[in-house]
Amino acid sequence: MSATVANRARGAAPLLDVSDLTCSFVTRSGDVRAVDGVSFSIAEGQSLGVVGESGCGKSVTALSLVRLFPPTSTVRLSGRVEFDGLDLMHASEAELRSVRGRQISIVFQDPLTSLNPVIPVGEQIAESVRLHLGFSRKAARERAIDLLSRVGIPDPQQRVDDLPVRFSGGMRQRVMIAIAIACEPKLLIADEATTALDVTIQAQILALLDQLRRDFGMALMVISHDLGVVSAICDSVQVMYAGVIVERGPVRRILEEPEHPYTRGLLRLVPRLDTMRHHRLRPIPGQPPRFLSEQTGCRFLPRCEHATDRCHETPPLIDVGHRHSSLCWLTDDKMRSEADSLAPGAGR
Amino acid sequence: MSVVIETRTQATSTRGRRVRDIAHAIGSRSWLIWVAFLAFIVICAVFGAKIAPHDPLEQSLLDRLKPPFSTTDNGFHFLGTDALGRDLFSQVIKGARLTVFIATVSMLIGSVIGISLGMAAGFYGGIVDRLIMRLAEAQTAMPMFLVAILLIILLGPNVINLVLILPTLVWPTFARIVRAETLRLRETPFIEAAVAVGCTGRSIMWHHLRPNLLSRIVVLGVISTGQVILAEAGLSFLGAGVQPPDTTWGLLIADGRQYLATSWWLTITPGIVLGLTVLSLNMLGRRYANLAEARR
Repeated sequence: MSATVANRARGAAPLLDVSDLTCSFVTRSGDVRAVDGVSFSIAEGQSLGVVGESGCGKSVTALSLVRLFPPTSTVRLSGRVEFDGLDLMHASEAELRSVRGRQISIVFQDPLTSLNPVIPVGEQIAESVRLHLGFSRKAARERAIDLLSRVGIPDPQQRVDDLPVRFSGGMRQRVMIAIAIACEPKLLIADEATTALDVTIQAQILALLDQLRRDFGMALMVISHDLGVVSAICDSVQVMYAGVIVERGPVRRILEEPEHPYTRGLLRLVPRLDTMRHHRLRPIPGQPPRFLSEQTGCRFLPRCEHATDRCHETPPLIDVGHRHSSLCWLTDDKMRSEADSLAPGAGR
Repeated sequence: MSVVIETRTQATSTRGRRVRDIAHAIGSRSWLIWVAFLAFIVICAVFGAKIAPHDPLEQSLLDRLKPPFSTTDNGFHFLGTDALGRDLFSQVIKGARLTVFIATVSMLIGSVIGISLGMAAGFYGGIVDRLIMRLAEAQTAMPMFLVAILLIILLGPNVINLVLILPTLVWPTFARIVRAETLRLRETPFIEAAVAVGCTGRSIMWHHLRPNLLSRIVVLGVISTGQVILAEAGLSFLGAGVQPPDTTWGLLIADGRQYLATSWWLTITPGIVLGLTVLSLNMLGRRYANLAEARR
């Protein structure tokens, strides 16, 4: 809800507007809820980071947008997903196909297995433009060469007919990006796109994504467990934990003034150059919950060092200003005491 | 003492290795023999009676049942002559044409059916999968060879009916293997990526799955061609196949059967040709499978 408010404040209709998205996987032992009432929006050209530990619902949130699930799974979705005036939640499979790869593209984590090993890379890039833009075989090939050079692959004329085995991991991720941007989508989702790459290549790929975002004016949704990745190219960040968004705000605010104990815990895990050399990283104790039960209260409660009795009640999403909000009673306390100090006598 | 023993062991092992190297060199080239043999069969099939040393239908009752390597007034008979004095070698060459034609066409029809059904079963799953695979299993449970004989007898023994019935023997194998591969591939990230690009199910099957299945299909095709040749020979041998004056190797074997006690070559030589052809197909199929596996 607050996201909608934030956008209205900015005066631009959001490109993607998600509200109360819930996604559960139907299994034999009951439904497993992976995403539980997530609302957010992305404006045109905006770059949103989604961070959190493994299994907190980041990827599932992204896959729910265009309903990309393994054919063997049964998924229950609810909520509202509006993309560029189109209701994706109620779109038919055919409508979704025309959105996938055309309007919304996804770059997956593992570049080594995401390319078809027996098809030349050029053809894999060309496929998308032939499919969505109706290019001829020849025009599509030209476009593939153009895209390869665009994503920084030297000698694209020669490389276009090579099989994926002849490319390194970083190069293959560049090819994946070329496929993703082939139709100049409005939204590019990078799902852990740099996780499988080493740090140097990671930086190159991030720079490339940022460059392409500027060139094409597309929105970017960067999913990562690494706050460093997100801070490098995102305007705003949302932190997810156990299927809900626990904190969101502009990148700078989240990095410098995190409100939620979980975000603070994540930030303590980023090694810094300016702290003491023998300072040890402190992991967050415990594990995120495997299966979300119908429990009330704060989901982070079992692992939180600031937990109080009140945390057994579900905390509200508190707006702390600067488009920054946090789902925690501590934030609530802080806001109340600030309000008290600003208006003495008006408080409790 | 120990030194001596050690040297000897070493010597044996070097010699052993040399023997192994030679065996390996022959072994790794042996496929050329199979290729050469198949090439010969294919040439026979293409040119048929034109390259035969004698007219395969020309009878000469004076020269009947001559053993291999005998010379008569008509000339040299490499594989001898049959009960009507016809040159057996020429008949084997003539028989190659129909044998190879029936086997190839049946295999192609069977593979197209099997591949399409297997891919659909693996890709769509659910009810489609259950229907197709139950059909394949039901058919495998039946003694198909007997059913084929029955059908041939009902429909009439001719080449067209053979080519229509033989594919039923091979499609279940294609369907099962293609389905298993499709199931495996369907979960791979690159297929997921293809879905994410917006491909339809049909284009995923044709453009993304098919090239990945190709090596297995080729192996299976080569090996099942051998099976079809055997099945056709079996049917022809039992009289439920090709009818004279057309001839196949199976029919030649059947014709020679009554002279087995006196003129063994009438049965044995077409049998050897048939056996070697099936063996070559199997050897080459296996070699290709190994190569494809190594490349993976």
